Amino acid sequence: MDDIQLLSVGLLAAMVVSAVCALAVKDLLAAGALFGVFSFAAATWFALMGAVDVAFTEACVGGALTTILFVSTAFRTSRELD
Amino acid sequence: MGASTPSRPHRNRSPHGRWILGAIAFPALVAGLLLGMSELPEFGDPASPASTHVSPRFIEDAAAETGAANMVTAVLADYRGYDTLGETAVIFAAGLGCLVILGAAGPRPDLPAAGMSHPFGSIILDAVARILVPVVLLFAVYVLVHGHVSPGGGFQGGVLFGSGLIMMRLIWGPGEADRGVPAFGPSLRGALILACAGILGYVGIGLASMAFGGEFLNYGTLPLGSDPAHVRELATLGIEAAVFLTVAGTVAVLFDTISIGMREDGVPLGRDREAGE
Repeated sequence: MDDIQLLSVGLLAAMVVSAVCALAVKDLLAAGALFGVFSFAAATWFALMGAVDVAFTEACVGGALTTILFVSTAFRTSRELD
Repeated sequence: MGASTPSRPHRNRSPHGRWILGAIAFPALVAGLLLGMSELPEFGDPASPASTHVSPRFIEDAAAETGAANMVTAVLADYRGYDTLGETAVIFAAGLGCLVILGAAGPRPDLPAAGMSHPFGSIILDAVARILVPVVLLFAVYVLVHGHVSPGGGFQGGVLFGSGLIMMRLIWGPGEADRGVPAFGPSLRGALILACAGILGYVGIGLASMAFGGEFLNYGTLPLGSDPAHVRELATLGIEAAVFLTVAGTVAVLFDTISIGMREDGVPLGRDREAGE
């Protein structure tokens, strides 16, 4: 396994772990932050695959914007999941 | 499951049953996806169907035809400008949808605010934001105009610009006209006008190229110079600027509509900050 494959496996594992954690946590704020982690791992992986424009968009939208919107929305709710 | 009636609500199912359902459905889904994936061509395979039809033409001719060294920009804003118009309209519609649904809910003073409990937050946040916000806004414009030669363009630049606007709203507060505290950045109405201007500008460029004898969004006919590649480059920049305005405005509208109900001085739909002056 060369370096790129090793990095890919690591990033994909980080995406799976953060996605499962985002579903598992009860705190909506933490879930929003975990989605940010997921997006940054995805963006890094896209950049690794040579899709720099897609990586840039994912980092902007997934890493920053939707995280802000999720957190803002979490504040509007009771924050804890039933 | 077998004993339950079909109309039984989902939430009444026992946790045990849900685990069994998940244990069956999840491996089945993974197996199906893996099976489908094994049919895909190798990553980066030059002989794959996607790489043999239009890709060679884009790779060979895009820079000469459109003047954009970044092939992604050439495809998104020029060859497939019609697609991008649709995507921009979808983003605009998402902003409008949020505005209608959440704006109609009205202010919710009983819920905590999205920003600082008082404008400008702590001194550290204020000091950092004073340096960071101009840099973010300027970088957004750089990403927009540099999209021709480097990764980036209207969409990414617009999201960055919108993030800068959200940062201003979060830290410096919504502004209180009656107490002489100015609002920073465009108001909700201003952001909506920006988004409308973007999408109208996009359609306007398309119609202008029709008026000069071309097809809709075929910029080659626009009277912007004698070099066709340069004409397309300028028109692409105009398209990117239109996308930038729409995305930046929509991002601010989304944040405002989500946070509106949270502020005690929340401004309901149709009555924003200018109304207090």
